[in-house]
Amino acid sequence: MNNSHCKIDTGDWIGNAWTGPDWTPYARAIADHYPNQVPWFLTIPTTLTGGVGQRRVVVTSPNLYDVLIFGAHISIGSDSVGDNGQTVYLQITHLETGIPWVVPNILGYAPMTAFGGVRRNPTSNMKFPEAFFLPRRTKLKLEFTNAQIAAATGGTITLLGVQLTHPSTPKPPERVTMPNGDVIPVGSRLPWFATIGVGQRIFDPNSVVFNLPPASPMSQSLEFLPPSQCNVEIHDVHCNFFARDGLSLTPDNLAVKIVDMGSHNHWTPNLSPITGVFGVFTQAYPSLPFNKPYLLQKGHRIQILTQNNTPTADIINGLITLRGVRLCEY
Amino acid sequence: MFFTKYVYQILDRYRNHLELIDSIPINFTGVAGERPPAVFTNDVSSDMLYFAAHVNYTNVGTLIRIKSVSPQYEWMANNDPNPQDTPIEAVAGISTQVMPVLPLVQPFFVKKDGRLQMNFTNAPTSPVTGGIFTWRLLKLVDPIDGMGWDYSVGFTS
Repeated sequence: MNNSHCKIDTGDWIGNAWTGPDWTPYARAIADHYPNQVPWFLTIPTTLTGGVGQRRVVVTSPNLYDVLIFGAHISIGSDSVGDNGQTVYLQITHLETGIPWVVPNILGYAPMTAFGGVRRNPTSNMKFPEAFFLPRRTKLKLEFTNAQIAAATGGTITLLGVQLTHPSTPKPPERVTMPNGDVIPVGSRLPWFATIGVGQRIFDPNSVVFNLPPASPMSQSLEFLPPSQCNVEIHDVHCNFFARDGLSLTPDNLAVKIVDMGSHNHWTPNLSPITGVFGVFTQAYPSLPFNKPYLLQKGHRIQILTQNNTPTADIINGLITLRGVRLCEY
Repeated sequence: MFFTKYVYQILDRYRNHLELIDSIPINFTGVAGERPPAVFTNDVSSDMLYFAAHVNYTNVGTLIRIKSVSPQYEWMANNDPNPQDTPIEAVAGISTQVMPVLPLVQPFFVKKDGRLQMNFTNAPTSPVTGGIFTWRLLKLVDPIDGMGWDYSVGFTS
């Protein structure tokens, strides 16, 4: 800012609190190619009608302008129906490139609460780990899945972003310069979600169901994510089982250990309470960040050990979602 | 750095930036699903930057659709045959929320005497009566070159 004009005599320590999310360097580098920016909201109905295990596909309409999508807001169900989006699952795919945002492992989707903030919780709009550049005249495909329990009807997800208007070139920029001087292709940083179920998979003809039984005297489960297709920055972790249907599952009695199998880097030398590692939708950080993004090398995979020390409560359809940035080119 | 370079370029064209709070009655009458006539922000004799929004009720079932009248931009991209408007909590902070004022992803510039048009839909259950929508903005006064910023100026990297 031009301080000769705008200096605050009481000191310049007062920041502006209403500036919205911090833009990533990648988002800023793209936006710098456009002269104007206009707020953009796209609210997409799930079209779910309450069927258990129901799947619905919604394709968005193309936009006139290029769009940077920063995050999302979720408005669906209640404590007892769809568990506010914790038990409604979502996969997003950019149709032009065919790249899914959620790693297509045994699940291939993540709880809606891993994508966006929920209604009037402390964080009602949640950022993606990286802004997604949606080129003009292209579409997103959203696949919604109702879980086995308390199936939801209706509901919406609102994608939040900025329209980049009056482009100075007939085509979107193909490459942008990052703050460190690297020139990278647009589309080489994509939101990345990897979800894994907690416990034993139970056969069900209509859906994927997981269960981690209560302690007797101890119940453990070991799961692996598939090897990473390319380098990934992992930023934060979300889960959907601190509470279920509005009732607390005493999450402090649940413990976790995370290991990068490729480098044998144990993030948690011992089992740690999940409340110190994962975030949920009712908190200020629905996806709890790391101190610094973790670089998962191509070909490496993550191991997650969970332990249920609760005397009586099963963890049913508990899902852990790692969120990050996929560092691949098209 | 508090703002993006785009916002700094707008701010730098004015000698002073003044706080402005613009509250607009929504005029809900307590009827479920009602769509009262569109309401508009107040005319201001200076250029403005819209930063954040608030509503003074707690029912989260209401919907909103916003467009700027000058310049004419649609903010809400859903144009389905049955248009799906945006949940109010995605745009504005709620009275009882941790963040009762919710920032936009990017502040929005409006030239002097320009306005935003807002269409509201009342909640299907426990509908709201009355309701006030409040914008938090900066009034950009005393343009350095006498003209200030405009969309024809745009951002230059």
